[in-house]
Amino acid sequence: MTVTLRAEDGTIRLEGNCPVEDADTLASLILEDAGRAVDWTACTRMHTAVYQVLLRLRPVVRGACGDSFVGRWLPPPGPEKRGATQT
Amino acid sequence: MNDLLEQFLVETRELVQSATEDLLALEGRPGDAEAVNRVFRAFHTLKGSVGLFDYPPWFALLHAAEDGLSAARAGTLAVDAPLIDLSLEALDATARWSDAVEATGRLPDAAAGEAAALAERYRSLLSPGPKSTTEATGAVPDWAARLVASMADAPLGPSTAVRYRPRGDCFFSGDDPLGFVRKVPGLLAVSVEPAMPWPPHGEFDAYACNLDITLLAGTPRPEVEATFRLVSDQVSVVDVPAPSAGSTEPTPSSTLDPVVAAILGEQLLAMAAPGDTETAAGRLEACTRSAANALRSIGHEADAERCLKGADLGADILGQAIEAALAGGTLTGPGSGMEASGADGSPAGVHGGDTARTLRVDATRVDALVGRVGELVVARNALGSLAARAEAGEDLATLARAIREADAVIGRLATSLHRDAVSLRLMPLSEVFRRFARPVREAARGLGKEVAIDFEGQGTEADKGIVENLFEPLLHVVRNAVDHGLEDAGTRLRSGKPAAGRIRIAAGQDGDGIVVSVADDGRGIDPDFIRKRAVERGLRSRDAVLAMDDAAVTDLIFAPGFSTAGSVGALSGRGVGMDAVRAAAGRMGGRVSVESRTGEGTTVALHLPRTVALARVLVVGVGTESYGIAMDAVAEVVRVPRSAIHAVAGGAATVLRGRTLPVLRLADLLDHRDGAGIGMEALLLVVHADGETVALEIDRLDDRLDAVVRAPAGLVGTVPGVGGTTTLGDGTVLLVVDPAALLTDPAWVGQDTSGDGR
Repeated sequence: MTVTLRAEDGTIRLEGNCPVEDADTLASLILEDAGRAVDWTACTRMHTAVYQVLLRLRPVVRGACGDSFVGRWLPPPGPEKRGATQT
Repeated sequence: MNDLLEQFLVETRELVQSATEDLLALEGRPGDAEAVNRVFRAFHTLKGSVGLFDYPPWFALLHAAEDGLSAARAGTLAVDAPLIDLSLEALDATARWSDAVEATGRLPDAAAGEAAALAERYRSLLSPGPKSTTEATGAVPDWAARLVASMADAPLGPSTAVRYRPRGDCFFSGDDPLGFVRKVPGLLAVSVEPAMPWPPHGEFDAYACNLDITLLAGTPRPEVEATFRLVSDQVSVVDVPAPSAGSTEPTPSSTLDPVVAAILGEQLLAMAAPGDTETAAGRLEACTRSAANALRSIGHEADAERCLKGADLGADILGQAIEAALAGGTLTGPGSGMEASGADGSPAGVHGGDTARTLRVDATRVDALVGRVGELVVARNALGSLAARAEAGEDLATLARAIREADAVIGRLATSLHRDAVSLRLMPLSEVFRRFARPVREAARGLGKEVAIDFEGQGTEADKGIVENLFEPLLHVVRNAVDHGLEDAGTRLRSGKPAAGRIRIAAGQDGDGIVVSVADDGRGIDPDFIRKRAVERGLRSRDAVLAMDDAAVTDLIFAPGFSTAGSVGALSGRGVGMDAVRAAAGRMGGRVSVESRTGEGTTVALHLPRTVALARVLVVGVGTESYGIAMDAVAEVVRVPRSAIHAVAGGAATVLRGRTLPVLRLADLLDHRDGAGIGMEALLLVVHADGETVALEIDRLDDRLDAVVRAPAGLVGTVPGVGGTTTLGDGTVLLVVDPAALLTDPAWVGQDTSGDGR
């Protein structure tokens, strides 16, 4: 399990290799509570499906992505512009 | 062929048929949402079934088609002529490929190229704007331009832009689209956007891919393409020239059409795929041909030649040749002096041959058959009790009567069992009729005519063998009607007819058989034109045609050599391939006739047997041999005193009820030297065959029986005059002669009973 919900601060944490199966888990965690932030600093490899969930649901994303390809080439999805107040 | 494949082929044909009908209906009513839905579902199911087997190009095409129709269903793509035509073409390809798979177990060589081209057309429907056509001329599509603009520092040299739209279900097939992007060498920029607006929140599917990935790389196109080989059906690649300096000299590969490039990429992929050595040669040849054809299609003859020559030297050399063609370079490899071999041979007759097909049967018919078999089992039990009675010493007369009764019961059951079994093979003619809407539309469109087609009597049933063989001859007739029978709209209006020509295909019972007719309301057949043509073609003498009545003259359109394609067109004639129609009807045990009224139209009718029925066969003796002869050919059996047979010029004749009949000895026709032909009386069969009535002299009448006559096969098939065989009760095989064939046998035509040799 590489997608975890941290009890202390309600952050969703992506760790290590996040394969396609993680997309559904991640999506349901975000859909349960749209206010949960996602910490992707420890994610070393992100599957397209996982990235797509972030792109679609646009949660607050914390830190720089641990997957260097994503960090280097893809813009952090983040909340849409009007959501700037949330940060 | 395994069951799964067999089932797949049956379903595929049905889906192609129903989707074709829906598409044609959509042409008239583009707003019919339910029809769009049905077409979408058909493609969706087709794609799913093709996915069960290993036919990547086919799958890619159906996938692209599904995407297109999905957009049409969602209302983001117009249901218009381009989409309908393209989808019909996709269905055509699918139908052809199922035939090929059935016959050869694999897709035809050209399938990969065709699939890629069709899929590309779907994609260009979906993303209109500067696409492949402009790419070839060096223009950069919008999305690539945006990508370049998004970069802080514009690339210095020429670059390669890729648009990758992963399939919606790509996650299920194990793809990680960004995984491919990670491997792109010299990546300069990436953009990931939703391909379509996200569906409403309620419908969240984390496993449906909806991404439009575009990227720019500073490496040459072949390297970039190589990265996407596995998903080449989902990417389009373009060359982006260097910002300013490079624009004067386009990169070599920018002259290569993206579709062709995709085809070539596909071949490299196919050759790289693992496989056993048995199939390697075939695959190499297939790849060579596809690559060469693709290159030829854009005029790259030299590259095509190189691929063909490279193929002789093995996969590696071919690979180099293809890559060189992709790079736009020239490869003067070691194969340049070699001869290309066998590369332009046409694909084997995929449509010909005896293709086994599954028969779908109404369950009630099977139930009836099973019930009948049950009765037969019961009837057989009666025989056991009869045997017991015989052993008990019951008197013979009673026993004989009981045996006769049992025989009659079993005989009745056997007959109805045969009827039931035959009915399993009965198919409604609608199976054939429904296939006509399409060719008629195409033919009419090609000729710029308007044609309304309607059908009558689709419910008429006939044997599967008849129904399945009916399409081609009927298509000949229908095409002729559209091409030569119907006038163009202007001419029609001037003669007071509605602008749209009408063609009616009708079927009905005709005694024991069926009659299928094609009627048009066109100009009809001009007998004088036929007379003129028949003389020109040397079919008849001028005097002969003048002596013939109009109906007989019109019938000449079926004569072999009457007409060849293209020579009749503008005039009122028909006749293109009509002799083929007559031959086909003959093969099915039927005949064809034509009726025409100048200015009002033409009706061509095929009279065909309905079933392969039990034939009543007369067993006749000639010398020591026995032969069967179909009873329906025999009008009567007469005994005449030998003195009533007169020698006439070239033969013998007798007068029967005021009519003179030629008398032929069956022994002579069959080349028997031991026929008696003596005695005070001659036994004559009056036989109708092919419009002639003749008297056949035989030695004796042996028997009369109901039999299933099978078409002659093997050695027997080459014996002239033999129409079939049947097995007698004692297991011996009886040759059943076909009087018509006997009489056309050239060996005796000199005897002049049917002057024209038919």
